Amino acid sequence: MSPKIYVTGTGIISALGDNVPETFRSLSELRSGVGPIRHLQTVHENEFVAGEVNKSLKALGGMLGVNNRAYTRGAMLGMIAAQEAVLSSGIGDINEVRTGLVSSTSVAGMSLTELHYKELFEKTDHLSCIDSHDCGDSTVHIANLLGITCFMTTISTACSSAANAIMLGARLIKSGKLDRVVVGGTDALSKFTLNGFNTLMILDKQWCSPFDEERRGLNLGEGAAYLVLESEEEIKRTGKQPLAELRGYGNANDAYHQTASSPEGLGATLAISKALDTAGMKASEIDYINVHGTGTANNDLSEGTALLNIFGEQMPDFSSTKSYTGHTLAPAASIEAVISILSLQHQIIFPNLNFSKPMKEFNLVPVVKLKKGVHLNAILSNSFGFGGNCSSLIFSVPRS
Amino acid sequence: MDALIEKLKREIIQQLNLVDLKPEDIDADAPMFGEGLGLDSIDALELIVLLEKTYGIKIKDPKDGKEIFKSIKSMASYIHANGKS
Amino acid sequence: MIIYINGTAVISAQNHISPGAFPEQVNVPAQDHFGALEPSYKEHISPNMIRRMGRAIKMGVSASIRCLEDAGIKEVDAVICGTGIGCFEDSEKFLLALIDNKETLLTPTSFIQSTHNTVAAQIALLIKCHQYNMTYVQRGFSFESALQDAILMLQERDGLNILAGGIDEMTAGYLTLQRRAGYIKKDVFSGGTLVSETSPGHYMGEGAAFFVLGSQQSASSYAILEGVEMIYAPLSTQVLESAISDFLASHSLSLGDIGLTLLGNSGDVRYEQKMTALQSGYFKDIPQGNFKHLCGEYMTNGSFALWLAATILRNGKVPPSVRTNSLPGNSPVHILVVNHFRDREYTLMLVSRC
Repeated sequence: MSPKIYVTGTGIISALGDNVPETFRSLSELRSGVGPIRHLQTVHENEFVAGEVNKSLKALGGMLGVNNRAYTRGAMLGMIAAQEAVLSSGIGDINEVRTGLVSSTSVAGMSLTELHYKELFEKTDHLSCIDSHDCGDSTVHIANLLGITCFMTTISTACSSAANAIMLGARLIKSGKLDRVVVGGTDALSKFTLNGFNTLMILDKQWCSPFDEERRGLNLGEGAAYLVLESEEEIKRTGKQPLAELRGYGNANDAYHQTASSPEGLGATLAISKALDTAGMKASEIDYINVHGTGTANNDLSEGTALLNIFGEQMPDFSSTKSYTGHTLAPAASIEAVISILSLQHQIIFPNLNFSKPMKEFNLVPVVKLKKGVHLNAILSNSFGFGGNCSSLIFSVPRS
Repeated sequence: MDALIEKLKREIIQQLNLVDLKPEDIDADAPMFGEGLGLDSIDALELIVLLEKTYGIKIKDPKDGKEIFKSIKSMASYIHANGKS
Repeated sequence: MIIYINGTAVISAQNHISPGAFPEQVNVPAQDHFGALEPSYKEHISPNMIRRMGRAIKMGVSASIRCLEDAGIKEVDAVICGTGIGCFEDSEKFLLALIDNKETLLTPTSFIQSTHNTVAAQIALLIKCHQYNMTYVQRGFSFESALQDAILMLQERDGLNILAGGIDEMTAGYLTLQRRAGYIKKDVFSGGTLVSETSPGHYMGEGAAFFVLGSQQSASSYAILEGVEMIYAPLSTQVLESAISDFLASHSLSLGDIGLTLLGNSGDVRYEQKMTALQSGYFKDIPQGNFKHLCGEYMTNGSFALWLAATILRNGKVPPSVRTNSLPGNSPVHILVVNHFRDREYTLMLVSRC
C-alpha cells in the first residue's frame, strides 16, 4: 500500500488576489482577473488582455518587507505564495524534520533581463541581472526566506512545470528522503513570453473562452502558488488536519510536435491514465476535472479527445479556470491545485467563465455557473506544456 | 514572376535555415508542407512574418496560409496579386 | 537495488572519439574558455530537425542518441535532463530580435526552442518516447537533480532503463557578460590542473554528457552508480566533511574505501577555500584528481565528471593528466566525485566498479 501524501498548506498570488482567501472570494464572486495590461511595459499593452497580479514591483517588495530592486518579479511572487503556504500549514520550525523545496518556473529572471539586456554589454548598472536570470534564482530566494536547507531543486517543463514539482515532492516523501516538501511554481508576465506566444498566433485579444467552439486563443497570466506536502507520519506526529490528499500523479510525453498537441490527445491520455493508476482509482471515481483548457484551438481539441478517451460517456463535471486567471505558464498547475483544493474544502465547482457554445467535434459542456452543494471527493487536474510534456494530478478529500 | 520565384526561394532558404538546400534544388511547383520541402506549422508562421516583413502583406488568420503557401509558385502568385515586391 | 551505468556519450572541449575511452591527447585551449569540440550532427539528426536547433539542443540530442547506441538500446522508460542556463542561444536570439524590432515582426522558432525542456522534448520526438520526461534547472544541482530523479525512479520500479544527462552551452554573448561580471579568468589557460590557482575567475566551458541507467548489468556496463547527494551552501568545511562521511556511511563505505576522489576545483580562488581544505586535510591520504581543466566550468559539468569516473572504472586506469597528487592508486574500485559551483551547490557522486 503506497504511503499517503497530504496537503497541509496552500499559498497563492495571482490576478485573483494576493492570497488564498482573496482568491476564494474572486472565484466565488465570478470575478475574473483577466483585464487590460497595467504593469508590463509593452507596445502591445492595448492589444491584449492578461491576468496580471495587480501589484507593482515596489508593492510586491513592500508585501515582503524587502528592497524590490534585489529581486525579480517572479522571485517575489514565489516568496509571497510560498510563505503563505508554510504559514497556513502551521509549521513552526521548518527544519525540525527534513523539509525540502521543489519549485518551478519558465520565465525565470527574463522579466528583468529583458529590460536591460543590451545595456549589460555597455554599462555596469544592471549587471546583477546576469545572476538573477537563470531558473534557480527564485528558488534560492524562496529557500532562504523559508529557511529550507535540506533539499532544493527547480523544474522547467513549460506549462506542466508545477505539476511535475508537486509530483517530485510526493515521490521524495514516499521514498523516505524527505518528511515534507514545499512544492509549486512561479512566473511573472514578460515581454518575452507575450511576444513569443504572439508569434505563435495563439493569443486571444479578447477575454478567452476555453472549450468554446468560437475560442480564439489564450490570455497570458502571472502568479505563484505553493502547497505543503507532508507524509502520513508527519500528520500522525503533529495531529494536523490536512486540507486534502494527493492521491495520484502522472507524466507522459506526447512526442508529436514541439508546441502542438497531438489530435488524438495521446500524451494527455497517458498522463491521466498514469495519475489514475498511481491513485489506484477508476475514472468513475473522479467527480470533477480542472482541465488545462487554455482556450487555444489545438489544446482544447486535443484535451477534449483525451477526456473522451478516458471518461467516454461518463464525463464528470469539468471547467477551465483559465478564464479567471489567464494562463500563468509554469505555476498554472499549482494555481489550479490550490483552486481544486478550495473546491474540495468548500464542495464548490468554479465555472468555466465566458463559455457559450460547445466545440462541434464533441458534446462537451463545462460547468458554466458556480455549482455549490456538490459531492466532491476526487478532482483531476491537467496541465500540458510545450515539448509535449503532459502531467495530471489527482487530489481528494483526505482519507483518515 | 520568375524573378520573384527565385527571390522567394533564397528568402525561404534563409528564413527557415534550410542550409543544405540551394535555390536550384527547390521545385517551385512542389508542395511545401507535408511532403515536398516537408515544412510544418512553425514554418508557416515564419512565412507569415516573411510576407509581412519583406512584402508588406499581413495575414490575420494562420489558417489562410494553407492555400497561400501550398507551393512557392502559389506564394509568388499571392504576393504578385497583393503586395509590393 | 544496484544501478548500472550501461551507456555513455559526451561532448566537451576534449576530443572524444569513442564514448568509453579517455582521449589520447589532452586538448589545452589557450583561451579563457573551453569551447566544445562538436561532432558531426548530421550523423544522428535529420537536416530538417538540425536547422531549428541551437547548439545546446544539438549537443544534447546528439549525445543522447550516441549514448543509446553505446548502450545498445532504442527505447527508454524516461528521459531526464539537467541544464543550468538552458537553450541560451535561442533565448538570446529572440530577446535581441524583440529589442531591436521593438516587439514587432518576430518569428516563433527561437522562442519555441528557448524553453528549457527543449532538449528532453526533442529527444522524445526523435526516439518516439511517450514516457516520463523531465528537465531540472537548479544551477550546480541541475544534472544531479536529474540523477536523483532517475535513482528514485529505478528504486520505484524494476527493470527500467533511463536516459539522464546534463547540458550547458556557451554563447559569445553569455561569455562576454560573464567576463564583465568578473567570473572569468583574466589570463588564458596554459595547461595543468586547477588545483593550485591563486587568481579569481574560472575558465568557462560547455558540453553535454548522457547516461543510460538501468538495474540490469550488461556487456556495455561501465560502472555502478551508488548514489548522489546535494548540499547547499555548507557553512564550513567541517559541515561538508560531515556530509561526505555521512554519504559514504549510507553506502556502507568509509573514506579509506575511496580509491580516487575527483574534485571540482574551478580555479577561482574566491570560491575554492573548502576544496583546498579538503585536498590538504580530509582527503590528504586519498588519491586525488581534477576534471575542470578538461571541461571548463559550467553548471552541469558534474555530468562530465560522471562520464570520467565511469570511464576510469571501466578501463581500470586513471589517466595521468587527471591526477593532482602522487599517492599510488591507479585502479580504483570506488570513486567519489566532489563538485561545487561557486561555493554554493556542492554535489557528491559515488561510482563503483561493476
